[in-house]
Amino acid sequence: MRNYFINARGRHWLLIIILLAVSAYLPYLIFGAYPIAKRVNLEQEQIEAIVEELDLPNYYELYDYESTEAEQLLEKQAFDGWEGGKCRFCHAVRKDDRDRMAPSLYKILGRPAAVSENFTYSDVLINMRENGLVWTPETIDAFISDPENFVPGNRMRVEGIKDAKTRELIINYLIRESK
Amino acid sequence: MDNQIATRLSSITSWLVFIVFMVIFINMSFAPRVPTESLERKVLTNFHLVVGTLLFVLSFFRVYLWVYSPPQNTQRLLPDHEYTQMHILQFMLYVTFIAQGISGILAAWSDGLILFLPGADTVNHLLWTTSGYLHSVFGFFYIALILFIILFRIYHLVRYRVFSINIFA
Repeated sequence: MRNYFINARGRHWLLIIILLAVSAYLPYLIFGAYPIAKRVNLEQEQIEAIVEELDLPNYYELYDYESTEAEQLLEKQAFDGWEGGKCRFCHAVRKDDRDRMAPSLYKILGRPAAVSENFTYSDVLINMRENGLVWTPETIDAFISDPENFVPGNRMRVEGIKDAKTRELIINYLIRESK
Repeated sequence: MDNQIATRLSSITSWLVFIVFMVIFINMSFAPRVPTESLERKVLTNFHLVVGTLLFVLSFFRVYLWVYSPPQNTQRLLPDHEYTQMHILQFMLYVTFIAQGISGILAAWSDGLILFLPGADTVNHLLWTTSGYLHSVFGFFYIALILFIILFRIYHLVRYRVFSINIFA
């Protein structure tokens, strides 16, 4: 082993360091991943104060409806599938789901943006929260149709869902599963 | 260890690592496309854990052989600095597999996928996030190393007429 260290030139190690540095940046660049998760982004009292001030309706009651088994299957496929929104790959939805790479969507409707636990949000999304962004069926629809356009510089590095029907199925799934 | 035995063992281990790596690479290419909650995904994840552990153990053994019985530079076809460059890249590749194994085991453990003590609560999202990120970093790093090893192999072939098919040894 000593021979390598004696024979190695600066450029040999420089190549290794450059490759490692680029590799360290790629998960963030490609997937929007972040190496550290922030335990609490906003205290529960602060979240409640924002919601109270906005006087929002209860979206879960407002949009509640009985979907058939076939509809539920389509909604699940739209949310889970690779051909659909691919949302399940990064998001938890139910209370008991384990947190994944992206914030949990449990009780997402009527919730201010960038307040979930166990996730480090981008500054741009925190700014959007401070400017009053609240997740409603309408804002979720706008966001997932073109995330980069709706919140430029956010870390959800997915192409927008252009198909309005798929978006509708995803939102219906959220109304049903995230309450 | 006798040098001849070490050379033979190194060669066998390198090929084993190459085969196991190909298996896990194919598994890794399919798994992310399978829905998280499905049974198929669970099977792929368990397979990933088992084969990944095997790759970790083999790489560890390969590094042990490398450190205690380093390959002798008996060839005269490549200049020393080219030979050293290739070996540094290959050595780093095995070290990365070890780092990949450690971060992978940590990620699986903090995600509750592997449990060593009954009833122990090992789930820790903060540790899972960091170890998962590192697992991804080392994944990109070994892909970059393999790419550069192949590029150097091609360069050596063109410039010095020297070629070896196993990029791992």
